[in-house]
Amino acid sequence: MPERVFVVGDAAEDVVAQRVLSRLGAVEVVNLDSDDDPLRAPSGAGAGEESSHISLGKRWLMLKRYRGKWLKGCPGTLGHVCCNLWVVNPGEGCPLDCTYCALQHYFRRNPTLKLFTNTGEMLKEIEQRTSAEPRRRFRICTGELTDSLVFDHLTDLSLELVPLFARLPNAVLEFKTKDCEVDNLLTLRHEHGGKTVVSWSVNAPEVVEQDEALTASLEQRMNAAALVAEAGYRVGLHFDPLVFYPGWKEGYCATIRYIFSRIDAENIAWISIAPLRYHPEQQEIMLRRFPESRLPLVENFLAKDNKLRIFQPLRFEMLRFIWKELHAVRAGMPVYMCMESPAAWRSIVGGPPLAGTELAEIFSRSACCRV
Amino acid sequence: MEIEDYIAEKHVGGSLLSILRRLEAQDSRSVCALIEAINPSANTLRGLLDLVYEICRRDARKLHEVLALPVVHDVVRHEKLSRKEKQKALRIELEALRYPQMNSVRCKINAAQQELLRQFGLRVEAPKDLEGDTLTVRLSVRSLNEFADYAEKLKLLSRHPAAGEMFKLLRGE
Repeated sequence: MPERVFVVGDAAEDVVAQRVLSRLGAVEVVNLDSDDDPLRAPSGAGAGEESSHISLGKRWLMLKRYRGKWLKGCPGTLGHVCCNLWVVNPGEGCPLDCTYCALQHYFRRNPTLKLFTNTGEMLKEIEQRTSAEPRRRFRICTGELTDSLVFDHLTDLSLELVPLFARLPNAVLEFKTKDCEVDNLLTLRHEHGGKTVVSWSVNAPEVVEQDEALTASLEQRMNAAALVAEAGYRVGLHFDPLVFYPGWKEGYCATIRYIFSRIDAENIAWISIAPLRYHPEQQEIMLRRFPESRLPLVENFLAKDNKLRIFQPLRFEMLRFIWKELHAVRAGMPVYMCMESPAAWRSIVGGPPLAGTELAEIFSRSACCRV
Repeated sequence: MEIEDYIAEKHVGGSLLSILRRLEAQDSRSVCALIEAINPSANTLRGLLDLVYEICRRDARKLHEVLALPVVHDVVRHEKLSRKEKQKALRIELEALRYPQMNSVRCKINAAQQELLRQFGLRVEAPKDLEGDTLTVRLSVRSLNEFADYAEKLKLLSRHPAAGEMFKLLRGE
């Protein structure tokens, strides 16, 4: 729960802001005229100052209107195979505190959590854009710049998004989370129309324990996944990031075994696998904020896309191992590699993902087929 | 030499200055011994200490313990290497300690590469940073006969286990 809430100008008039404030109850509220981040780091701020602001920013919340374009293509990464995911961001920043999270670097100069209060405009834009391109299949995720469900008990956004996507013939919604907040989704069991996929980020038990502070345990995540599956939703899984550590094979095998002891593989919409990668400046933030974590000390190198990545032979070994383990559960398991090189697809799968752009189409189509 | 002498001589500032002034007594003695042996610039020392600290953190060791490891000690105390050569060799040893698996793969690829060079006179190059699945062979010829010679060599090379080994190593198999 945030310790302090900032409400910016006309956002106070929005239903979402009023709902969030009423549900937070006794919390310090500050009204602002400017929508500048209250923790905005001055230019030239060092990693030390930024790191302490990042931690504080996770306890502060800003309610403001979003002024830009809502629906965007996932930026992907240079020279890597992209799954053509679309993203909308109903907020920015995440109160969960994973050591490897890219958001701590991405929002290091504006670290206060943000929820946008004019999400009605977001819904309109999704509807207009998808109806303007009826032949295109859209897979749209809300979990790129925040956790999709961690604020849902405050905003009720899922109560609007899920019915909207049920009406859209050419779009699938993906929630991506490490939380177990699914109460709203369960109330929509007769309304989702098979057009919403609820995805969990999952990892080896050691990684969840040591590097995913404040998140739901793997057991809690799978409890929630089992509930939504029972309510007819399809489930997505993101093994992201795959982390190398001594005993990683046993760790990931244990997670895969556990997941499929709780969820029927037939309920899986898609699974992504992606080894750890992050911007080099994030290394300093990770080392400062998480001195106990070994995660920044893996064998990585600076790749062409200016991200530190695990060196290829080890990375491919990990990808191949997880790929095989998942296909051992079910031969046709819809697994894809997120932000990997064409060489990875050739070496691990034997070829490119059905000539590139079809990957997203396939996933959207397979989810739509359940309607 | 004392740490303060080095700081003054090299005009050390910024983060290296605070690192050097925070050293515990035993670590400070080890760093002084290192400085005397290799006379590094401030930038070189910073680079080496970054590697040492990452190894310390990963392996839960003290700085002086890493600098006392035989592979490090042997370089620092080597009688025939110049200071510059010691700096270079020390960096290689520390990188091997920091990135043991990467180093192991590189050594195996180098061995396979040398084997192919020795057998066929062809240099088969792995991709930069071991990233990608393409091996490169460059040929220069003065005649069609040389083309034919190389064609025969390439045919034999393609069946040599060392060539297959290079692909397998790159693919993490």
